[in-house]
Amino acid sequence: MNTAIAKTVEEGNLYDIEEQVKAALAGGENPKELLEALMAGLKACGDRFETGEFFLPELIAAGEAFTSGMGVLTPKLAAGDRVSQGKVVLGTVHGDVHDIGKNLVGFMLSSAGFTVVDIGTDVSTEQFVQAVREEKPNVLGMSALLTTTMLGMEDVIKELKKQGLRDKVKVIIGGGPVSKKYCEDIGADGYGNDAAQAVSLVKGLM
Amino acid sequence: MANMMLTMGKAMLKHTLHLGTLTGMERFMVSAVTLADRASTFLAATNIEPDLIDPKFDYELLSKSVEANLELFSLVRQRIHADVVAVPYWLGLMCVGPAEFGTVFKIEKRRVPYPVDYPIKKQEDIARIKIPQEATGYLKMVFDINKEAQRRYPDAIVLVMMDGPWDLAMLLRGDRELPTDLRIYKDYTEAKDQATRDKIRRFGNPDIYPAIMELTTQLAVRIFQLAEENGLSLMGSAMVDQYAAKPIMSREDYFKYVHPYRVRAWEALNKKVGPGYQVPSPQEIELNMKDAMLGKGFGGMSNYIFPQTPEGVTLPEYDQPMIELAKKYKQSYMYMVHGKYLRDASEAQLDATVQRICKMAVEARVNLMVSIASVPPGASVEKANYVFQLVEKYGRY
Repeated sequence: MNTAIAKTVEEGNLYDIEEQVKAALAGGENPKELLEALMAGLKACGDRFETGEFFLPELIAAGEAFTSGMGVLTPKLAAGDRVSQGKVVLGTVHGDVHDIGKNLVGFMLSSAGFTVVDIGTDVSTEQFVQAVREEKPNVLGMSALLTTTMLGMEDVIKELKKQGLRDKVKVIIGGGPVSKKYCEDIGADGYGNDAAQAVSLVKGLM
Repeated sequence: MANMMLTMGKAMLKHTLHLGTLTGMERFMVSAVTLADRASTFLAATNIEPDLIDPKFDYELLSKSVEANLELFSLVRQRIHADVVAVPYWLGLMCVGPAEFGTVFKIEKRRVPYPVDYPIKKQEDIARIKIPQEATGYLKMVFDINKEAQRRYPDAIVLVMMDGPWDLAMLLRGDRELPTDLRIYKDYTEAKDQATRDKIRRFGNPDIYPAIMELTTQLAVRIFQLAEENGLSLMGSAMVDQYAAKPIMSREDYFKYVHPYRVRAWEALNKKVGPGYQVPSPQEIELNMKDAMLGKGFGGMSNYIFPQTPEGVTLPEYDQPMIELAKKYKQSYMYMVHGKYLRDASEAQLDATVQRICKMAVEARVNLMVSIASVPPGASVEKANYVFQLVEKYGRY
């Protein structure tokens, strides 16, 4: 594995990553192995977040470095080189525009090899249901920071049931006001106390 | 200010000479300098969901009417049995001024107003935001509510809580863009050579972060000045930067890239405004106590953002270190009962938690202030009062 590329992603060095990937490809390195290096860098960054060594700016930078590297690498990858651990749709519920927690969860899941579809903030019940229907994710993740907005999570679960989609997707919830009891009360499949728990939570549901 | 000092003097005299039971405000004041008769209780009225008091109050009404905020505050004061009930307005994030500087808020009946668009999209936008000469719009409304609440309820404590430079910047720039700006600026300033700096400039603009922080530092100062000019006292006030801590940024980055702006604002306000900064562990609080600015102010010694159990209680292993820290620095420990715990816990669970905290504080003879972070939908005024009753029962020194 190209450890230099992994390190560049881990450190969120978005300024050098494109040149490094281009140089590696020009030097004949295997695109699939370069993908592994990019993923390893992302995972290392996630690990350092979990241990309290890295914070939001580092995660954002590593995510951007990964994306830049992938921009160069993607045309060279063969079908089947990218093996996803599963697909997760993430969004913040209606009335809530806090997306830091959701972004952190998205980063952690991406770094663990999941395909993350972020449908943004202030997402209505209908938009969540539509995303489940169209994206067919393994897991739907809903985030809220406010005690008032989190009530929308229950509406989404009810609507998924009504539309016959509830059995097709696992639902996880997270955010400051969300608790284990609330998770049980509304019939979600899991909840996380913080973003660092997201990967083990989702893996446990797959 | 004079009235506050007079009340403080009277309270101390009453407490020292045992001239009857302290009122809530007297207890609050006594606990600022010595051990009061019992642990005190505090609630920011704004943290109660309006329709738990009366469904006629909603955020559309509360964002339009000064009188509606005052009426709701009056009802909260009647129904909530805390020593101190403060913060008499329900405007959510709008109260801190960004609506007047271009942040667009969405206002719905049953949701706290929330930002949907930010005015700073590129560097040129920064210069378009002017330092206000006078308070207008929602900012003026907050000042008017505070002033009138103080006039109607002289025994109320009106604490001016406004955003500091970082939190204002988050509301003017957006909570994804600002951390990115910080990262670009940090990489640029810490780059070892010009070639690297040139390369960074091709990917981002390192000038945006300091320009925004310069603006918001001036805005933060001006907002507090306007509060004073509108007749409010800055006694007990706080310049809040709650998003300048973990996991948004490291402690090192805070001190290097945010703290200097806050210190400038604090000094410009003649150090009258408390720092309003909370961190996630007793160890970090102790480090903050050694800082000239962070060691002062109300609410810094709090469990507000400590890690929690799945039920929403601060991890119990943090409690004893916090009690010891409060004792060491002769400060009050503000213990927050989180809204989700208030909502979900049974009375027996609440009893056990409050009893445990009170017992620790009483045994150590440490001033404890118990507050409720929010009274959310699904909780009730009665449940909040139950917590305060438990403090009266278990918190006697």
